[in-house]
Amino acid sequence: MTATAPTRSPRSPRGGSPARAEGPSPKRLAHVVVPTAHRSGRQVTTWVTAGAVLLGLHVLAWQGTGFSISALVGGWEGMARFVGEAFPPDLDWSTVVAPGLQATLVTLWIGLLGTTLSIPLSLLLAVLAARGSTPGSVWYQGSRAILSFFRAVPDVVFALIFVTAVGLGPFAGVLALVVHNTGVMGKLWAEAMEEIDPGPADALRTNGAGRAQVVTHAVLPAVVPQFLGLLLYRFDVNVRSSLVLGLVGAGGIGFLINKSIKLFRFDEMLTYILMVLVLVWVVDRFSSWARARIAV
Amino acid sequence: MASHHGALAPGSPGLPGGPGGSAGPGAAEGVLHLPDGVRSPGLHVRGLRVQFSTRSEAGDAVLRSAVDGMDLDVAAGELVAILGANGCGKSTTLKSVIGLAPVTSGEVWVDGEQVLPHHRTSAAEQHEARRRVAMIFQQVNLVRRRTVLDNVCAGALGRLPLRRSLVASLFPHDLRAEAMLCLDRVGLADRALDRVGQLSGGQQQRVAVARALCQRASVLLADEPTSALDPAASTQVMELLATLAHDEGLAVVAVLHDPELAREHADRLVGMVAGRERLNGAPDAVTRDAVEHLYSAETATVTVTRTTVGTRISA
Repeated sequence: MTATAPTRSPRSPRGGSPARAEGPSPKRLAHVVVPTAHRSGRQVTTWVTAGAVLLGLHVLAWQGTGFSISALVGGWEGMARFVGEAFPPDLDWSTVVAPGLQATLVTLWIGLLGTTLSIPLSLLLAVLAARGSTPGSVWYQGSRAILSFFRAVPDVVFALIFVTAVGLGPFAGVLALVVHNTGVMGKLWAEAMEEIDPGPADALRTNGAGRAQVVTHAVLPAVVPQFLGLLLYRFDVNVRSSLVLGLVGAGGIGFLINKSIKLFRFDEMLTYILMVLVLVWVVDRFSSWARARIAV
Repeated sequence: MASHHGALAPGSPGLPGGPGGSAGPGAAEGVLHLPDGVRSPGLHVRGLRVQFSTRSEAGDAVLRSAVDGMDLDVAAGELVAILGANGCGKSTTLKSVIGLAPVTSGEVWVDGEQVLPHHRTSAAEQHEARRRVAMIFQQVNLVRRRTVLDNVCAGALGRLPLRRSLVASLFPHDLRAEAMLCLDRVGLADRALDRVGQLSGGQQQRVAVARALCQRASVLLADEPTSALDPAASTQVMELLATLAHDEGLAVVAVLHDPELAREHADRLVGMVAGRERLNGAPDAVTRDAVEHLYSAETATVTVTRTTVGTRISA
């Protein structure tokens, strides 16, 4: 109730810079009543409840996963043997490094094709699954359902399916990535299209443009930067995914890693992992460099 | 210029009919108080009503009228400025004419063709009549990443077949040439290949006008075209709109926030209060007090009709 006007600064003769530099005097400040936000009882209850629920979930998760510090500490010998056998990495050119580099390149190719070959279908489904451009609710729901299915089934599962169809090797990996990536990229693109300013599209609609024309002349030009950014991001993710696909027989460096583990050749495995490290780092740097360029 | 509009008494908007009924089916053929009014070139709006349901502070469902029986006549060759406080329904009037806001009831005529209500005309007639109405926006609404020329060409999308217009590279040469003429008309032919995003706000608004010209519109609606512009650019845009009306015979309606700008450039001022026309006259005939009164607190409050939400009266 006793709030004085806190914003009025003390006036001093001639410009007042000395007084201004010091700010209001402590005596003045002591009289200012600063309003404080009061938390209502209901807010406090909400926060406490949310905290308790979260804690409970963590206890359940701890038990459900058999989380045990003692098992980790007790198992140190196993880990030490594993690491000990991995060092030094086997750098034999003809048996390890050369095939490793070749397989690394295959992994890169799987990631590249898995990304680019999914563009046409992703684009089509994204246009159908974005509210501003969909021809109708049946198309919208249908394309959303297809995208959800492609996304929900893990790429590893698709890889296993395609391995049975086209046999072991990188081709199965490419097919698996194309299908899974269509689901993910289609959804990301549809959302990018829904987030843009609807003004330009409305403007074209009012001057008589049809649905397809609005999409190609207003919606797509506005989302080109987002589309390219998401495409590069997915390329980055897909290269890393193709490693895992190799573990189930879909070719690439993942396949070699899996083989060396099965043969207990941990020194070979380490060499391959170092190659993976370099590959992932290079792709990541390239992807973020290119995205920064596009954003301008 | 606007002499025949004297016949439209400022107090008459309620005349064409009660809520929902508008003028009734037979009224289109000369029963209205303006015998040939709606048939003449330009834009004619009769008894426009835009209602939406909302909740009152007490939580009851109420029908709120954004536009409440508005009449508007804009002859070919005339620039009309609509003035009014925020929320008086001036933007909604323009938006509902062009189909960006749902119309509850009312009639809209463009160059003698009826545009609203829909059931009175065929789809093809609708499309053709709508194509003659262009709108420019406060937010400009051009595609910033495309070139100025492509944006102007896009005005013609409504009359091009899909195979010549799906992407910009398919646009016929004649269209590009026409777009260049439109750009020349607004003084920006030398910026044709620049991206829209590189232009200043005033230049962008002139590109939007060029797009409307390329649409071959005969009615131009401008929703606060100068609100985002500095005074010099505002004057330039308003002068452009006035020349288009006077020299090329377009019917131009501009919703403006600046009464002085309106006085300076418009042939007629229309003032709206609570979704209705409150004043209507040439700038010389409208007193400053009358304009001031549009923005005063007592008139600017939005009227709320307390009725339970029933069936929506379809347009």
